[in-house]
Amino acid sequence: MKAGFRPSMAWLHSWAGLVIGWLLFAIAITGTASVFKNEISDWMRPEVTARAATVDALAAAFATLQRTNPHAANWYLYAPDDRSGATIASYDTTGPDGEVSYKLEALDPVTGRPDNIRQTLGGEFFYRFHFELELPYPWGRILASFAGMVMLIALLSGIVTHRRIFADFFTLRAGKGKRSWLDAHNVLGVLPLPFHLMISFTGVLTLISLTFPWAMVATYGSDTARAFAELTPGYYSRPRADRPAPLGNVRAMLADAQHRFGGRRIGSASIDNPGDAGALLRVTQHDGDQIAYAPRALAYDAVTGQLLSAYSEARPAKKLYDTLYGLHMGKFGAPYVRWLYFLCGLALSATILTGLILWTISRPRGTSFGHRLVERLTIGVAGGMLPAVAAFFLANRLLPVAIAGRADKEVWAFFGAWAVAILFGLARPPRRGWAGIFIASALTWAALPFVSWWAIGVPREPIGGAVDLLSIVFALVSFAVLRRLARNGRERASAAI
Amino acid sequence: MIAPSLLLTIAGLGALAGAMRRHATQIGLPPASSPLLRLVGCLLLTASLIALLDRMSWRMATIAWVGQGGMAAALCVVALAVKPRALPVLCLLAGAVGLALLACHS
Repeated sequence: MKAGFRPSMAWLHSWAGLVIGWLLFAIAITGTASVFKNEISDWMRPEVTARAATVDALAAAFATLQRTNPHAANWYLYAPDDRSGATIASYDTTGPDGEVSYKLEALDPVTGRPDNIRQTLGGEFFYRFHFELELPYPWGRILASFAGMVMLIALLSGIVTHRRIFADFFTLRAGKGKRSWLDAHNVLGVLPLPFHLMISFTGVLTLISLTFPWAMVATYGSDTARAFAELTPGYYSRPRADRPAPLGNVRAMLADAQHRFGGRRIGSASIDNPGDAGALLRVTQHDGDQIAYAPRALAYDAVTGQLLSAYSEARPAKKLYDTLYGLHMGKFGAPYVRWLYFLCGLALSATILTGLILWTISRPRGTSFGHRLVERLTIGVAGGMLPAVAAFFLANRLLPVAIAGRADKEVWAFFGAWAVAILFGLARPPRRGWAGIFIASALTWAALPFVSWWAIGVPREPIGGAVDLLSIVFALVSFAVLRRLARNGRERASAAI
Repeated sequence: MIAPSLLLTIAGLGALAGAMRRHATQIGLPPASSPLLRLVGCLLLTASLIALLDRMSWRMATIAWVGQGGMAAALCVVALAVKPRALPVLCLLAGAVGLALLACHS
């Protein structure tokens, strides 16, 4: 720790940023990709081309589940919308050995069946990684939460350290070495600062009951069921009656729900205890129709069709929380707002990356093992993310559609490519390491549209075109960075002579 | 409306940049124009927020306005770093087209 407020803050900023920087970068990049979670899922399931009205799609999916999985405790469906065509089903299955497992499956919106749709996690992979980090519950979430808190600390201490926020607002001096990196770090951090602060704060808030459970423990003790019931009264539930009873007219109930929601859409629907007299249909309004994330919910007796509960949030504190949660998720509003989220997310990722690079170039080069490690880790962990994401998308197009464990193999492609990038970055001198990463990135992203055209044909939907276009942009940016690296290398070589 | 609002934000932030001494010298503007540019910049930014209100609720408009402000400022920063003298042209063009679109609409 240094004497004085600002030096202390600068110390805190650089060390907090360093310790958690790589993890934060991975969280920021996957969070940015999650902005287009539904679109990515749609792109990764090219077999789903049919479109159906929400009520029809949900009714078809429930009809199929009734045939294929009548003994599940619960069927949960996400309705298709303007952003994604497939109905997403989640339910429990009991294997031959009596072991219960949960299944996430994309269903055709017209037939309600999963046939011929390639297995993939789609955008869900980025979303899950963003806050679970592929670690077992609850460790991934706790680590992600902790990273979010450090992000907030880094932002606040960064504001204090920077101090010339407004004087340097538009300042970017190019071609001046460390000065330029610092300017870039400042500009990327300051211009979307409201977004950075909002997304870090609300991100920490989404998992607050996990990281700061004491208020809840003090009020409810170990009675988590009561805590949950009071937190979300809209989540009506009832026990099994242990008497078999056929489902009533689910379609009519869904149509009634749609009618009650008025102009707003149905977002999800679930049936508890299907086939039992205690069967319950729950219908929730779409997340994208308002900023707050906990919209109205209805519950029906799924046998008789009687409406049991209709809830919309009116408590100010909970509404505030839902609004902050919704701000983090960014599901509301026009595509324009989502693009702004995406661009601001890229800016945040770039702020973290330039911060990591600044840490290395602010200290004498290659003096210690620690310095070399930081310098080289950044290459693979942060830079390697670019080819790794491309590898994930390429695997989606190249793996045979019917192969077993397909969704997992796509994820392996991501982690395999990332691991190779990290090892490569550690093994090579930094300049060559960066060059290698950007060669891999330029090649994989440039290949993606062509591989996709070869595998499934030229895109007819706008989303396919958008992915092809973005791939080419990423490839061109990688190529531009590569040329810049080569030029710097030549200048350095001629300066040495 | 989104397009005119974004264009006005670019023009407004460009004017605010031009009102700062460092950037005024870069662009080649006389320092005396600062107060006027600052006023024009603030007016354009206010107009850009109002322009969003007819398409979305004030909550949504505020979110979009803050976000697009960051992106428009980034554009001004890049313009200043690459070709400072292009910034006034860019901003005049963005402002004119933005205001024209607004006028056509209303």
